[in-house]
Amino acid sequence: AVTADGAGAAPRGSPDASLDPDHLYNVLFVGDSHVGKTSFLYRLQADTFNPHLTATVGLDYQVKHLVVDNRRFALRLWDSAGQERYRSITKQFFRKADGVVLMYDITSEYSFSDVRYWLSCIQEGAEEGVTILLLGNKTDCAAERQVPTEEGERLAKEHQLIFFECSAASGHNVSESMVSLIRLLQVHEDELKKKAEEIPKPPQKKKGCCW
Amino acid sequence: QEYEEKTGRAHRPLSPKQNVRKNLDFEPLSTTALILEDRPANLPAKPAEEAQKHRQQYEEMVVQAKKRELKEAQKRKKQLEERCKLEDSIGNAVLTWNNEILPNWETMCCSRKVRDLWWQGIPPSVRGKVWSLAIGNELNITHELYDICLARAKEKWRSLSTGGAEVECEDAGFSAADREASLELIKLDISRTFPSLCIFQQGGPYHDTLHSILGAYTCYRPDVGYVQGMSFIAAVLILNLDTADAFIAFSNLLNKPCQMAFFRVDHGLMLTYFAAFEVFFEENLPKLFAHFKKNNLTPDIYLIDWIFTLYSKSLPLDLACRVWDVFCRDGEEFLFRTALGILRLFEDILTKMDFIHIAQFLTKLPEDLPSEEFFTSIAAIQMQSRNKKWAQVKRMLIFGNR
Repeated sequence: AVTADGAGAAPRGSPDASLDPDHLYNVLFVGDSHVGKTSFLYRLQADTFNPHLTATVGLDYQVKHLVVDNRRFALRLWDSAGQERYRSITKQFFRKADGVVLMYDITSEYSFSDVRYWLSCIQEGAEEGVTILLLGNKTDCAAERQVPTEEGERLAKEHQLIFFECSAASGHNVSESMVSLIRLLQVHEDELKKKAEEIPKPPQKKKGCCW
Repeated sequence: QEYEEKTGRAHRPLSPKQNVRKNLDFEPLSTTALILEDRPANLPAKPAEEAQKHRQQYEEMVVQAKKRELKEAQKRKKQLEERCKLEDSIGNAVLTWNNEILPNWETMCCSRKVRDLWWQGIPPSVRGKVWSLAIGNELNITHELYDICLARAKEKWRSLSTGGAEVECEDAGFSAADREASLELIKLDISRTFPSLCIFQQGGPYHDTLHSILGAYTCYRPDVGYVQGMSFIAAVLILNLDTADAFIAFSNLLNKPCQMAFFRVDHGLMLTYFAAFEVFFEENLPKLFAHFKKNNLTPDIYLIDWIFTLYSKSLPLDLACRVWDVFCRDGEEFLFRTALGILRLFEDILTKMDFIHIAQFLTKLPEDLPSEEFFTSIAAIQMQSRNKKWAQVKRMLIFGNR
């Protein structure tokens, strides 16, 4: 039950993704330079692979409307520059994120070893309990693989992250991973709501409208 | 997205529908296209009165068609004249720059006449020379120094690719891994610099040049190193200057206070620049400023990309070069004035957008930005706030922060 507004019209009877969303989440994309963050977002929006994307400087922004389980979601996607120098800029946006997509490149051992560094940044900067999706990109380059799937799985388990391997070039697991992220974000939101109801005087709930 | 489509369409030159209509207007290209056919023999003859009326109508049509043609011909002639005039004025400008201004640079560069000519855009054939002169060479970099830096960079690349022993360089204190990552990053970023031009990519004519300049810079300034965004600046310079001169301009450009603050990611100073920008933002566009405030849209969201790449990534290249022209004339203040010009040009659209759509719009500006409107919009921005100029406002903010 997944439809995206970018890729063709939604089937009859299912809600129109571009209408007012039921839920709105801020999702920040981080990971080393050149692991494919911008390409992944391009694939998610346009459902094609664009080999001519430029390096991200600072941050880029996009909105993606999706319908999952008959509910409308709007994702505000923040694409960050991967270079170390920019990390101090990226860091200030962690706090605002409901979810973080942490990406590495399965053909680069280096980018995988940096995942731990990025996790510490998230721990430091983001709200507690932020939903994290670990993505190993470039499965289409199987011949150059340096990071075995099991290593990604192990790391994900250790830190309780959702984990997918994907390919922005082929489209493999691109929307699947986003749907998983959305479902988890929603579970998390429901939990927060419940908690808020249990407490007699609910604290000011974080509203998704502007930040 | 919706907004982007709407504005995108509004600026596109001709929709297919308009094209069809235009063709209809042009159709009677010659009056011979209007031939009065004889009445088919199988039909009864027209009454004389009706025949007379039809003849008259026909003649009127011919007159109209002739008139239209004449008008069209005049319009074409005028267009041709305007094009010739434009070409002439570029030709004249080249002559003026080459024969009058460049030989007398020191005395003439600040004159009213030169400044006006400068604003209209420097002709591409003299652009590089003017940029070089305007940026200057405070660092006293010579072609020999460039060769030395490049040789050092090449040595490093070699030792990295053979996995050889540590090369000692003056950049002690920077870990080998950092340096390696930085050199690796240059390689990856070169092919991601103006990919649509297909000249900086592997095998392209300027691939090695870009690689050399960035590599040489990391040896010249190991304390700054390579920072994403630099490849765009170097690329624009390469398009207008010889390699060594491009390196000299590149190093001197990055040495300017604003560029140093950004490329070293000096947060405090960057915030000062943003704060100064906001002073002029509020002054020039109070309504939009309030709208941005309401949506928590801070200037870093869009300025980081614009300042780091000097607009070369977000504006069409010809427009970016014209921004560079005046940036070379007026300095950093023009970068912020340009930003305000962009905001002013799209004020109506932006005031109807929410946070994420503004952010998205400003980091991906429409590709068919009309150049004259764009510069008119920049010209309308006043870089004076309560009698204070950019530099004064900046200075006050710096001291205020201390």
